[in-house]
Amino acid sequence: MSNPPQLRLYIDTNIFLDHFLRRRGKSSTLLKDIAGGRFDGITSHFTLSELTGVLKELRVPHADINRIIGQVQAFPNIQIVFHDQNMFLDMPQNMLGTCVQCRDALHFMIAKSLAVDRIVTRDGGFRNAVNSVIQCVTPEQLIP
Amino acid sequence: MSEPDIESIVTTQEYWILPEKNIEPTLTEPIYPSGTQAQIRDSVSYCVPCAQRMFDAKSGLQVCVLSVPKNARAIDETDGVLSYLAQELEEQSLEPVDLVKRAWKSSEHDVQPPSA
Repeated sequence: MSNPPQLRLYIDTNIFLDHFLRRRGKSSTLLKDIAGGRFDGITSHFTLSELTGVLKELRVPHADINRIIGQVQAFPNIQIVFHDQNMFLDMPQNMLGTCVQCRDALHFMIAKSLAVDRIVTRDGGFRNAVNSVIQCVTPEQLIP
Repeated sequence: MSEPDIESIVTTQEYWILPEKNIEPTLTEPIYPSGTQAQIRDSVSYCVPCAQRMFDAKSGLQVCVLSVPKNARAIDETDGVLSYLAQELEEQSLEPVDLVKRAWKSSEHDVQPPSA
């Protein structure tokens, strides 16, 4: 008998930042659980851009930013997906159908198009906007 | 078995199958106006990423994903890599969510030359 498929999770930018900052909570544990195959991870190339923007804002040296972004790309079992034209074609309708803001819509369209089961985020605004379409959870809700 | 015959390969991940082909970058070498090029090339982890088109069985879509070698050590190596900033951010009551929003605001209002 085959095992049931793992939950497919979209990982938001703030979860990676938790991990870099070694924040309280279970973001790092979640990333390790994904690497171990407990969950399937997805994020978007846009997440890498947001991470880069934050690290620049924090004045992290550019060489370190390059290294960190390269390492995120290497995280096992997290697919980094590019947007395609169909996602952008549908984006206005999806923004009208939810309360999602423009930049969060870029995350949402990947999550919706790739049929993720949960979005993992600590962003309350994002959660409120899209929770009726895709359930948003924190790492602690996934890993009690 | 010829190359086209092996296009359907089921990977160890549940949904990701059919690596069709790598999309070779067609851009010419960028010209950097400053010393940025040398800086990037000096970075030990810098490698040219590659996009790969794959069929995603769960959504039924052909998707384009970043194709780079995966490395389990990458998680441990980035665990707490910015922890030296944590106390300062805590004193400012800045959460990671706030950092993302702040970076967006800065990008809208500030145009700063890149730092060295």
